[in-house]
Amino acid sequence: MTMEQRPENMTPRRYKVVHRTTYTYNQPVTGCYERGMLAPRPTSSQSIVEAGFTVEPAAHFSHEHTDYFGNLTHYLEVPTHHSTLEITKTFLVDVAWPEISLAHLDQWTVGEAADLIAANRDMAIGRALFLLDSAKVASGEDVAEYAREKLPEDRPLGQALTALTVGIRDDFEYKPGSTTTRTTLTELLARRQGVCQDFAHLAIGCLRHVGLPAAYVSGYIETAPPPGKPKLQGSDATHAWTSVLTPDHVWVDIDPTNAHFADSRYIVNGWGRDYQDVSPLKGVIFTESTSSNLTVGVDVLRLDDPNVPLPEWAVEDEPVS
Amino acid sequence: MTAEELEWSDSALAPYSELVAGTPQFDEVIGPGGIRDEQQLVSAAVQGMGLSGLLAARAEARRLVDDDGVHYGGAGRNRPWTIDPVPMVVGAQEWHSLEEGVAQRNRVLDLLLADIYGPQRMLREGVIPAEVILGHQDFLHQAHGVPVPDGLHLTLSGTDLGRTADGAWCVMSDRTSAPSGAGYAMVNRRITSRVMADLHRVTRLHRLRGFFTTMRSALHQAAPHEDHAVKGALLWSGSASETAYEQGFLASLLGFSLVEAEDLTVNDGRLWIEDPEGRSRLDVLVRRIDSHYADPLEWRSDSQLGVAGLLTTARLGNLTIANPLGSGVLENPGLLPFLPEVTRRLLGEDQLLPSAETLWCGDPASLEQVLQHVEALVLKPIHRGRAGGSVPGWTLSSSEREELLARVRQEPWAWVGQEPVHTSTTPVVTREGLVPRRTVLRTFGVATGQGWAIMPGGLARVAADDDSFTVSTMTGALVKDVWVLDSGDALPTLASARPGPEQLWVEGHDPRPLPPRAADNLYWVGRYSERADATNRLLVVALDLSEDFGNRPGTAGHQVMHQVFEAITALTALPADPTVPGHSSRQVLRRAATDPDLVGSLAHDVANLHRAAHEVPDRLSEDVWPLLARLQRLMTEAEGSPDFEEIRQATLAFAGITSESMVRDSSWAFLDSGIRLERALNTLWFMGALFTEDLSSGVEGHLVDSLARVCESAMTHHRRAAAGEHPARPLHAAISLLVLDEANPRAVVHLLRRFADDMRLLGDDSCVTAAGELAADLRAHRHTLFSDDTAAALEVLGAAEARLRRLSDDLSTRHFGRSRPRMVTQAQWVTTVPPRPEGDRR
Repeated sequence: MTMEQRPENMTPRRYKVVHRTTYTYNQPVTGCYERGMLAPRPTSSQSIVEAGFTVEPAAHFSHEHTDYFGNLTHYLEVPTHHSTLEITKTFLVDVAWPEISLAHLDQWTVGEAADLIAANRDMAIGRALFLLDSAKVASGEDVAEYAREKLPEDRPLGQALTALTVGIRDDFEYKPGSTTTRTTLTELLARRQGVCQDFAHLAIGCLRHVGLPAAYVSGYIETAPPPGKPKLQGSDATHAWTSVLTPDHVWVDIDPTNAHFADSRYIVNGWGRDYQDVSPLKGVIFTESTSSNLTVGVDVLRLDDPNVPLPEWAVEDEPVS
Repeated sequence: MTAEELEWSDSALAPYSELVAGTPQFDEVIGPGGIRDEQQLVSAAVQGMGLSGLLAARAEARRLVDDDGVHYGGAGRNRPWTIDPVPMVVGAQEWHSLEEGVAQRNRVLDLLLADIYGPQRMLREGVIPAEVILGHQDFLHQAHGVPVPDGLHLTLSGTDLGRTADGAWCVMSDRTSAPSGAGYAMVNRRITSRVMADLHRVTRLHRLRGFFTTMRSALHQAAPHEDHAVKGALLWSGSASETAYEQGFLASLLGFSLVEAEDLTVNDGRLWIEDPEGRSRLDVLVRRIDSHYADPLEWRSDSQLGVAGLLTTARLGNLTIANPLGSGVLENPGLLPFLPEVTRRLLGEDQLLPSAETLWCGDPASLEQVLQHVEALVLKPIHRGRAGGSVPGWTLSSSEREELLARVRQEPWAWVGQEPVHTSTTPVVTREGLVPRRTVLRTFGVATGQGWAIMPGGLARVAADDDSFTVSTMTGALVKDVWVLDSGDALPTLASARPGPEQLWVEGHDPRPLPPRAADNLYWVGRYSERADATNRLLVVALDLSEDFGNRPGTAGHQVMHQVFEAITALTALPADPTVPGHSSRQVLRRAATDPDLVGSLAHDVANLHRAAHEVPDRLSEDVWPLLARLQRLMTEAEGSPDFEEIRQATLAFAGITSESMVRDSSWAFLDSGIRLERALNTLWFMGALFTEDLSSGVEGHLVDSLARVCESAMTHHRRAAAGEHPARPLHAAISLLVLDEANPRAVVHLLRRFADDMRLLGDDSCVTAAGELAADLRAHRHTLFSDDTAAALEVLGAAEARLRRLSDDLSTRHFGRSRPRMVTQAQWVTTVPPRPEGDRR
């Protein structure tokens, strides 16, 4: 059981990410308002080279601001009548994650880490924000029980985080469609199936239970095509994982879906207390339509590796960088 | 015994002073040495009136409340607004220091709100534990960093105060989200000054209206500065909401449009209000809905009360929202223990007005104290609406206590323990005499560029019974007017010192935009008022006929009666056959008059009139409400048969008020067009329903007499008949008088002309033309109408009726276009691809 980052995944790199969201309605929409996170935030693990988005039909008005969590958030007005709305977000990002030292983390037990954080006034706001229950992460006896198993108070922090991260990966089946954005942790713990956001929420719930402030991180990772198959357009994935505050005020990112610490393959879009704070796109639309169809396509393309040529479909519009 | 003593012992106050003697609370009127100085005047009046006088004043207040349509509590759970006639009096000196304390508190809360949605210094420096703010359900992170003009974060405030046994005031809670009650305070004053007119006349007290002038000017000044006339609106929580009455009243006092979400649109990051003359931009919005409901794009996406993009308009500095979204975070008893230090840090001053002693359970030592003394404390969650609300510890059984404490231990940061404030008592009029009841005073403040203005008065709420600890209008409390004595010094309010805004009401023109929803309701106020009048007249005619001819089958009158009852059953869908049990003419009449659930009944018309009027309280003359109340009363009090004559008086008076007192603007045009169109429709419908081809001329003549009565044209009809001015055939006479007579205000062509006038005022040329064409066509068909082919004539009338209904539909489509159905979509962040990173699958 190990979560050590592999050296080959720690080399700095540049990615191009294209994230296309398409809504189709069975009746015309006479107007819509959207709130979304249409550009990634700069973080200590990444810098944004360039970022932009397009809306079809065009937004007549848009506004970007940095939210309370430091994420970039966008407001759009699309008053044009339409039955398809397509929002395409494109950015170039340079990624380089710091190395995580388990030995360093092991200097504290879980309990000590929680006490040190509680005692540090500089962390008071972050602690309260990421320790209290949030909309999608409610404390409960079932979560507490799972937390006690993986994160006993006297376990060294590095080991405890490993136990939690690897534990969720092993105890739960990754099964798309088994959950929705409304699934609760209690339901998840009963079913033992879910997707990345469920696992991230569970890890957050456990960490909070033992007094460790934890955040929900949304972003992207580069994925590999099945062996021997070419990489298809739109086949990459959005992803979500968990970040935990440590006593030296460093946030450590763990991925309970894949049992990793985050490494250079992880691209952050934004973070918050849970999914609800970083919802990628939410809209209020005016329509007689009773249903909408949503398709999402993501491409995560590594640009700096001469050994990995870009797929053919991606070469044409490669930006000069 | 001296004469003075004799009088005293006879008066209502003597037993009262015995009741309060020895009680631990402070009494507002009786002190240790007898009647308190500043209470002398009121006490003298109370003694002069005696119990019977006071009871009469109480009854009169109740009647005025009814007449003015003052209500509290949402649809279906209306509570009477019960005003105790004896005002609560506060002396000038005392008020001055209270006012200073409240103003200081508001200054601190304003700065604190700025800090919470800005740098969060108070959290960073540990002055306030972060959980108290960040864990509060009204801390809305989406509102963080939203700018406010001139640094005014909190604009409106309400402060609940209680006086403790030692006579000192303390704050029990703050109202900072959408404080209510200022309008009700004004209502209390209006009514108390009438039922206690003599006393009011001789007492030098501060007036309240200036406060609303100040509020209006403060709201105008808070608008984003641009070079156009400031437009404001009050976003209300709807006619079914608890404080609907006050919200409408306040909108009128402020000269703001009363709006709902569907009246508003965000475009280009600005807020617009729909108006028949095109949309116009809003600068200021008084918010009376909870922040969570205010913007479905940011918060509760299921909210139909909110406007998508509203928060963004504020973030862009295009709209001032009073109070700002998220201001409810200050309605937070968890803040109370920390406010003295916050006051020192933010203002550099000591807190003047203390809060109720409060322990925040997030602090381990305080939690310990709370756990130990729970039966002596009130346990409160830091945010309202959290399950349970506030719980007096001494009311709990031991198992309930354990249950509650388990919840507190689970989330200690979310709870406080508060020392109960045994507030002072004031005398309340009851049949048994004056009795002391606990009282809570709510004061109201508004932020101006020059500081906080505090209303010189307030809302005193009095416990519903002797031993009630909780004082809340929700649990049936009484209210009192609050009289702040004027010492004769310069008015301390800022209102007088500051120039008001430009006169808002240009003569003859209401500058407020009229949203389609309001126009729609005004139109239906017109239609239902007219319909109630017509139904009433039809029922009177039916009643007379059944009394005269009910037992005379075979007579012309009996057949006419039969035709009229046919019309009533067609109107109400009641079975026509009087032989069916339960459907005697008397029973049919009763149901058609008084059954509010029966569509087409008079009671149904009155209920709909009532409903429509209450959707537009800010658009109707205040004289309307007593009439509506009277109508409502006549309907509910009617057992068997209502007093048709009284009802007729009321509907006539209603018509009089609208035609004589309303300014000829678009509000009036919509209302009047409803009246005209309804009346024309009714006339045409009655003719179609009453006449058939095969009536004998005797029956027809009699029927026309009845129709003329239903259409309020009987006098003219008889005069013309006597003078031989009518066509010979009765039906032709009716058509001449009720359809084609330009001079008869009850005739269809005349009504169409009036309708066209209204449409011209609204600039609706299409309706003007349509109405003109319909009138012209009726005239063009005069040969058919006056021919012997009755069927053809009735067909012309029926066709006209159908065209009129289409005209109404056209008008509705064009002017009352309602908001489009709304749907919320949320992109899933989940894809079907397992997010296994590149490099893992080896």
